[in-house]
This record gives sequence, C-alpha cells and structure tokens, in this order.
Amino acid sequence: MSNLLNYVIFLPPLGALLCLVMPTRQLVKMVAVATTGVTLLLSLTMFQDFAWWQGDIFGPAYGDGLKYVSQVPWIWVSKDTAIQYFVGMDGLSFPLVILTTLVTFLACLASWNIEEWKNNRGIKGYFALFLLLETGMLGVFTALDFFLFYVFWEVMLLPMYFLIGVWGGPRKEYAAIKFFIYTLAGSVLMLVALVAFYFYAPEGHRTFDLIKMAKDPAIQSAFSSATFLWGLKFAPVMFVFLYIAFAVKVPVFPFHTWLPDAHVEAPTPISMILAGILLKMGAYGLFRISYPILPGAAVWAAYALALLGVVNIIYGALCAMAQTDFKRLVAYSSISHMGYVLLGMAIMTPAGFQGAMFQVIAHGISSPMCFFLVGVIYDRAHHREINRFGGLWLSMPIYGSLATLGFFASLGLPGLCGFIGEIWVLLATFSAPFTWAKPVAVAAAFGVILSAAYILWMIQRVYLGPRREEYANFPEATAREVFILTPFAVLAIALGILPQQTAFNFMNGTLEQITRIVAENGPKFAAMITGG
Amino acid sequence: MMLLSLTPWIPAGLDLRMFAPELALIATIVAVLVVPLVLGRSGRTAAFISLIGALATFLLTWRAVAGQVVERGYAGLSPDPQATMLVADNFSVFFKLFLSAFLALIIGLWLLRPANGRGAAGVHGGSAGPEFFVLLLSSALGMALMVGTLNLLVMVIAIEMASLPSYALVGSDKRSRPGAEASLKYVLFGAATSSIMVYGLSLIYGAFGTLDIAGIAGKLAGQSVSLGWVPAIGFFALCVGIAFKISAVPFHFWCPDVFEGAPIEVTTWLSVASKAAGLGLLLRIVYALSTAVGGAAWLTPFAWGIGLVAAVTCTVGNLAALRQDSVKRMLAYSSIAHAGYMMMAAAIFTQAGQGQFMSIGLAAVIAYLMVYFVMNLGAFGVTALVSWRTGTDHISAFTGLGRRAPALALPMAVCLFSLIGLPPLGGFAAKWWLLLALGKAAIAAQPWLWGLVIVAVINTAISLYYYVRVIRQMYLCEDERQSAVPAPLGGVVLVNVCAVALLLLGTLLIDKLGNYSTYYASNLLVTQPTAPATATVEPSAEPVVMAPVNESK
Repeated sequence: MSNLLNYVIFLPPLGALLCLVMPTRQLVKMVAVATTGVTLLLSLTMFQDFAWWQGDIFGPAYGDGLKYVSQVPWIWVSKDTAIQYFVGMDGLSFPLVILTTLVTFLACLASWNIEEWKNNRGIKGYFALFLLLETGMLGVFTALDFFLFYVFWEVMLLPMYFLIGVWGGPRKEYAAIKFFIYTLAGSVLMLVALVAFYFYAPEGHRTFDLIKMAKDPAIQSAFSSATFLWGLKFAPVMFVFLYIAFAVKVPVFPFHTWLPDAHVEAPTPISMILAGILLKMGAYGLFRISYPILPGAAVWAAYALALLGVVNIIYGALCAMAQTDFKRLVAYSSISHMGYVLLGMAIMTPAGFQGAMFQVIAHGISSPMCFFLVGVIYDRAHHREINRFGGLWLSMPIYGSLATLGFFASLGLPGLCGFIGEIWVLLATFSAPFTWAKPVAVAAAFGVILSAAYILWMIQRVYLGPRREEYANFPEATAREVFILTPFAVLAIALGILPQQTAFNFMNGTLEQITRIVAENGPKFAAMITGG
Repeated sequence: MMLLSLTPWIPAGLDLRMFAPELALIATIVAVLVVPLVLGRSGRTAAFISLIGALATFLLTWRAVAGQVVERGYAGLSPDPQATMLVADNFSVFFKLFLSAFLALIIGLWLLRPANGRGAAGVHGGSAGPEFFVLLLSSALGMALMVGTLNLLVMVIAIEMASLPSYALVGSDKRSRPGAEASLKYVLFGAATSSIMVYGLSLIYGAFGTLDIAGIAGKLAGQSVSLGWVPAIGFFALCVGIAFKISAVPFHFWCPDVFEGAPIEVTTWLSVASKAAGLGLLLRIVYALSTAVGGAAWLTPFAWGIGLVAAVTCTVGNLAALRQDSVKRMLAYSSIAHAGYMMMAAAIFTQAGQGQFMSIGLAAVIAYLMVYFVMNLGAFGVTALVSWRTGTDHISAFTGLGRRAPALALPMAVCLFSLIGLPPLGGFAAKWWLLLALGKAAIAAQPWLWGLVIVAVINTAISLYYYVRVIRQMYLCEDERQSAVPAPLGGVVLVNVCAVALLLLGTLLIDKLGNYSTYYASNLLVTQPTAPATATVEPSAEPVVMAPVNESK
C-alpha cells in the first residue's frame, strides 16, 4: 500500500482528463465529484497508519515517522546528487492532506450549481482545473524534496488563476492577476533559496531533501555561519526570502491585499479552497522548511514574527469590522485568524507550535464553512451587502442554525474548534520565555474581543432582527447545502470538544520533533547570526 | 604570418568533411538561384528546395559531423594548424543542428502562410520570390560560421554574412512601409555597430599582431595584472558588435521596430537564430579567454560588465514589454529579456585550474536555447496563424481565442507560461539549469553572481504580467466577435507539438535536457597555447565521450 499516497496525489488529474471527454454536463459533474470522493476515501484509509491509539506513530526523531514514502531519483544535478520525486507524510502533512481531500470534495459538491452562476462559461474546464488544483495542493503538503515542493507550489497557481479569472465575479480579471503576481513574486524568492540551499551546503552534503537539510549538522552549521551577498548572513537572508514567499500565501499583513479581492471575486467553492487550504500552505511551508532548516534565523526573527502575527490579528479584525460586504468580512476574518498561527509559531515552544498547527486545522474547517454560508445566501439574494439583510433566521431556520454554529466556531466560542487554537496560542505566548511575550499576548488577546465584536454584530445584522419582505420567501437550505455544511459542523464541534483525540494526537509527535530541532540549534545559531 | 603567405593552401578532404553542413547550405543557395532558370520563378519551388537543403544540413551535421567530432575530437580548418579559422566541435555541432532545424521550421511556417489576401502591413507579405530564400539561407550560413570560429576576421565576415541578408529580409515585403522603415533602422544600427567592431578588431590586431583568439589568449596568459588601454578598447568594441546581434541593452533599439515591421517568419527567425548565434559567439570568446587567463584580475571588470549588461537587458526588456499592445512587439521585447537571461551565463568566468566549471555556463545556455527554440516557435507560430487570419497582431485579435480557436489558444497559453518560466514547463527547466549554473559559479568563485540570480527571478515575476495579459485576453475576456479562427492543420499540429514538447521538457525530460546540454558544451576547441603555458587547462572535466585529439593537427 505504499503507493497509496501517489494514487491520492495523481488520481485527480486522471479525473480531470476524464472530465474533458465526458459528453454531457451532468456526467462531467458526476466524474468530478466521484474523483474527489474517491480521493477522500483513499486518504481516509490512511488513518490505519496514523492510529495513535495503537502506539507511537512518529518515530524517535524528525523524519523517522514518515509514512507512504515514495523516493525516486528524478533529475541528476551532479554525479552523486539527484533531485528526487520524494513524497511522504508525517504528523505535519497528514492532517492537512485529510483536510485538503475533505474540503476539495465538499467544494466540488458546492460547485454543483455551476450553471446558475450566469457567467456562461464551460464547465469541463472548470472541473478539470479544479481537479488539477487538488493535485497541486496535495503535492505541496506531501513533497519532501524542496524542488518538488516548489514545482507543486507553482503548479497550483495556474488553475487558481483561471478559476478566479474565468468563473469569478465582476472584477475577476483584476483579482486573478493580483493573486497571480503576488504569489509568483513571493515564490520566485523561494527559488533563490532553493538554489542557495543546495550550494551553501558543504560539498558531499548537498541535497534537496528537506528532511536531510534539517537533520544534517554539517549543513546546519554551514547555513548558520555562511555569508550571502554584501556581507549579509546567509541564514537570515534566506529566512526572509522564504518568509516572504510563505507570507504572501498566509497572508501576513503587508502582503495580504490580494486576499480580499481574490475572495470577493472568486466563486464560492474556490473561496472555500482558497481559505481552507491555500492559506494553510504558507503556514505549512514555514513549519516544514523555515523552522526546521533555519532554526537560528527563526530565533533571531522571533520578535518581529510575533509582532507581525499580532498586527495580523488586530488589523484583520479591525478591517473585518469595517466591511459591509459579507464575503469581504469573512476574508478579513481569515487574515485575523491566521495571525494566531503566526504568533504561535513565533513562540517556538511545544504549546506554541501545537496551537498554531491546531489553528491551521480549525481555520481550515471553519473558514470554508463560513464562505459556503455566505455563498448560500448570495445564491438567493445575488448581493452580499450586510446592511441590506436581516431576519434570515426566520425564513431559513436550519440554515440559520448552521450559520450561527459556523460563525461561532470562527469566533472562537469555547466548545468549538476556533477556541482551542486561539487559547493554546495565547497561553503559549503568556508563558513564553521572552521578555516581550506578555505584552504581545495581551495585545493578541484583544483580537478575541474584536472578532467576537465583528461576528456578533454581523450575525445581528444578517440573521437576527425583524423579518424583511424581500427575504421572507427565501427557500430553506437544500439537502445538498445541508450535506455540505454538516461535516464542517460536526468537525467544528468534535475538534472543540475532543481536541486531543481528533487533532493533537495526530500531529504532536512531529511538532515536538521540530520543536526539539529548533530548541537545540536555534539559540546557538542565532548567536552566530547576531554575534557575527 | 601564415595569413599573408603566398603559397596556395588546399584543405585536406578529411577536414573539409567536417564542414559539410556549411557546404550543403552553400549548395542549397546555388540551387535556389539556378533552379528558377529551369523551372521558372516560383516561391514554393524555392521553399521546397530550401527545405530540403535545411534538412540535408541537419542530417549531415547529425549523422556525419557529430560522429566525426566524437571520433577525432575537435577540428580546425586553417592553413596554420596553430590558428584555426573554422572550428568543428561539439559546440558548433549543436548550433548547426539548432540553426538548420529552426531554418526548416521557418520555411515550414512560410509554407503555411495563406496565399490569398494581403492585410495590414507587416503582417502579411513576405516576398514570394526565390531571393527570399537565398537571403534566408545566406543568413543561416553566416550564423553557422559565427559560432564556428575563433578568428576575428572570420568573425567579421560571419557577422556581416548573417546581418546583410537579414536587413533585406526585414524589408522583403516591398509594399509594407513599416517593413521598409524597420529595414532602414536595422541597416543603420547594424552598420554603425559593425564599424565600431571592425575598428576594435584593428586595435586588437595592432596590440597582439594576430587575429586568432587562441593566439591572443596565449599572449594574454602571461599578463595577469593589467590588460592595457588599447586592447581593452578593442575588446569593448568587439562586444558592441556582438551585443548588437544579441540585442543587448543599450544596443537593442532596433529590435522592437524590426520585429514589428518584418514579416512574422523573419521575426521568428531573427528572434531565435540570430540571438543564438550571437550568444554562441560571445560564449566562445569568453570561454577561450577565460580558459587561458582565468582568474586574472583584469578579467573581473569584463565579467562584471557582461553581468551588468545582462541584468539591465532583461530588466529593460521586461519593463518595456509591459506596455505593448502588439503581440509581435511584445514578443520582441520578451526576446530581449530572454537574451538577457542567457547572457547571464556568459558572466560565468572560469577560474584557471577549476576544470569542472569550464562548461557550465555554456551548458546552461545550450539548455536554455533548446527550450527557447520551442517556446518561441510556438508563440510566434500562433501569433502568425492568428494574425494571418484576422489581419492584425494587436492583442485584441486574441480576444476570446480560448473559444474561437481552442486548438491555438491552449498551445499559446502553454508557450506563454513557459516563457514566464513556470513549472512544470520547459521554460522552468531552462531557467533552472541557468540558475543552477549561476549558483555553482557563485559558490565557487564569483559570489556576486547571486545578485544575477536575484535579478533573474525578480524579472520572472515582472514578465508574468505581460505574458498573462495575452492569456487573459484569450480566456478571461468575453468575445464580442464570435467568429472562429480557422487555421491550417499543419500549423495547428506544429504549435501543439511545441506545447507538448514544453510539457515534456519541464517534467520527464529535465534530466535529459541537462545531459544533452552538458554533452554539447564539452570537448571544445579552446586555446592552443603558444605563449608560456602558464594557464593551460584541459578542455573539460565533465564526462566526455572521448578525449580530444589535439596531436592530429
């Protein structure tokens, strides 16, 4: 079964090809749903190898607990070094792979009413690109060779550009090109890091293997002591390059402006994917590449990173509060919530990493749900002006209840998934061994209040209040819509009540291994960076 | 000086066999001139003869010369065995294969042009007479000579041989005013730069007393400290002439006008072949010089200069392309940018004694050229097919092409994404090998090359915008005109083959691309040391098929 992961990654493009030759619209949709469904089922079978209740699944050190590994030399760069096709999963990848297959499947179902989007574009192309996108995302989460990671990272750009640009809203062209340019501008810096990581390793140790780079002491000390251009230290420069590449995706404060545009113009299912999975790729990249490979620079930059995280939390929340467009509000709330991920990472303690990773998962569940909830009323009202809504709960009781649940999960109500991530990060920040930690934690805690404010205010304006004439006869959520919302709702509750069993136990081992690498090497290498 | 000797010199037959491709081109030129006397003037007949000639050249290079080069090592053609006039080695074999294959495809593109109807200037047209092909073949011959010489005099002859027919080719549509204007601009620019170059060569000759780069390098090998003003100006002037061919900034002004005004086959030809030949020449000179005197202090500004020009060239090309509405003109600027990327590899100067770095720059350029060949052919091919049908190459002609002609729009999108350099397409593979070469040299000896790496990747992001503009026009914009764009089957096949090739080059064949380019960059004819052999270096440490057999000459 070691090829299972390869099947999961490369099943979607096969489905895409099949979509292109299907004769009728209905068949195209069925093929697409079936492909994402089978991919989901295949990925669910992987739980057998991540059964934490049956014993240790992570191995003693980073990279030991990899499962479903495929490793084949691909491109020979020198006589003894090759770029590999190297995929595998550990506690970092596994939850994200499951999240990807789940959200993609549900988003595919959410695309079922594509004919009603009124932009008169073919649906074969849509589903083919959609499936291609899934491969790109799965590839990013499982690639363990830096080159392969980069290829998947870029492969995912093209379908996204077309999905926003062709099937999007009125300003789709602007949004699509903005997304494309921002992401590419970030990722080309990753390309520099990709080449430099290879050559700055001492001869005989050169590799593109992300695990090896993190574990090889020769590479680690070479990275920490080397200088790049103009006397600048190698490790911090590379960390900044990589950080920009990932920050665009997360998105971190100064690089975030593509996100509201992309979300507003993208069709609902694409927004779900964008919020649920694409944003997580940035966080995953930091976890997989920046922190284990450049621990010294991570320690060196910790304060700045934490500050950026807090800025994200507060700024995103304030922006969300000012929005009148429903979707834009949810988009800014994504920025705010991803700030907790950044903050948790910057703390670099086990609790910080766990909180950040949990927040990644939790947001991966709550934000697609919120975007779908927005999509449901947009399909009926054809506008998204928050102030023009009111009393929707009265006409759509089931939908209204699910919506409240979804937004409460996003808000961070205790008992729901958003709470655990936020509180974990805040607790970790309070107890962190930095002098700046407590003020930062206090500032970040204000974000919780702010997010409660904008979400409750939004719920009041949209769902509560007196029944309005124009929305009185809105049909209740259809079976399809309820079917899509239910898994999200169930997971939001399950993760909120049983965080240990549903999430932490799948990933804590790997996170601890990364924490150990950072704790062992970080301060020592950081001293080399600052000390010269 | 053997050059001035009066004794007649007759090359040995075995040596001549190495130059069968050039001879085949000459024979084709003669045939194209003579056959109309018998069969009457016909463009198509001339085209077919040229096509056969181009294919024969390709086959001769591939089957006969390539094997000979492997068997005998490299060979030079000259009365003086110490100073070769013409060179046949792996590098020139590659360029001859490259040029003849591209020549054949250009003729194929010409044959696809619809015979009826002449539309807007510069789009339709192109002389139907045999002289068009005589000019095309002559410029191909000149380019083949350019990459196969280490003698300054032959260089001048080759560059002129490549340029003069090109001037006429650009203006070959006699009814096109932009064509005539472009042609005149091209002539003026070309004349000015080549006169500068010839002046520089006279200085070099005066300083060294020889026209052979190998000999010059040998004499320089003793001078590790300074070069002296006269030869420095001479080399600078030589670079001006080459920069004109590559259209490097600031000698690029002719390029957009010429590319826009010329018939599209000629534009395609110049954008790839002419630049390839110029780069080949530049690399050969850089390679010969740095092999002999690598590491000398005076070489550093030379390397810096090339690196700077390369960085400026690709930046200027990309920035100027942002504002173009003519797709042809946009592709012209994009070709300037790509020439800049490739020139970066010429800034990799070898260090004496570090054999393993000898050919990485060359290999990177060869890999880049192979991919560039495919993606430019595809992009220009689609532009040609669209503009022949719609009468314009304005970007609006591409509106809604995704619907009107999916079989053209998809390959166009693939080629454009590849030109950006996005994985998993060939353009990324090309850029990857280039960056890897720069990185390798940077870590070994020239850390400032990291700056070029950064410039290259940032330019990638800039170039995204204008390439994607076309894609946006094809797929995102609504089409107010619903008319389909019918295209000849041959054309559709051609551009789709390009697209598939790019997909393969970027995935399964990256490794092969690297191998081939390394092979063609190995085993080169370098300096025959005449001066004290202070810096003699073996031609290559990369795996080669057979060691060079210098003693035979």
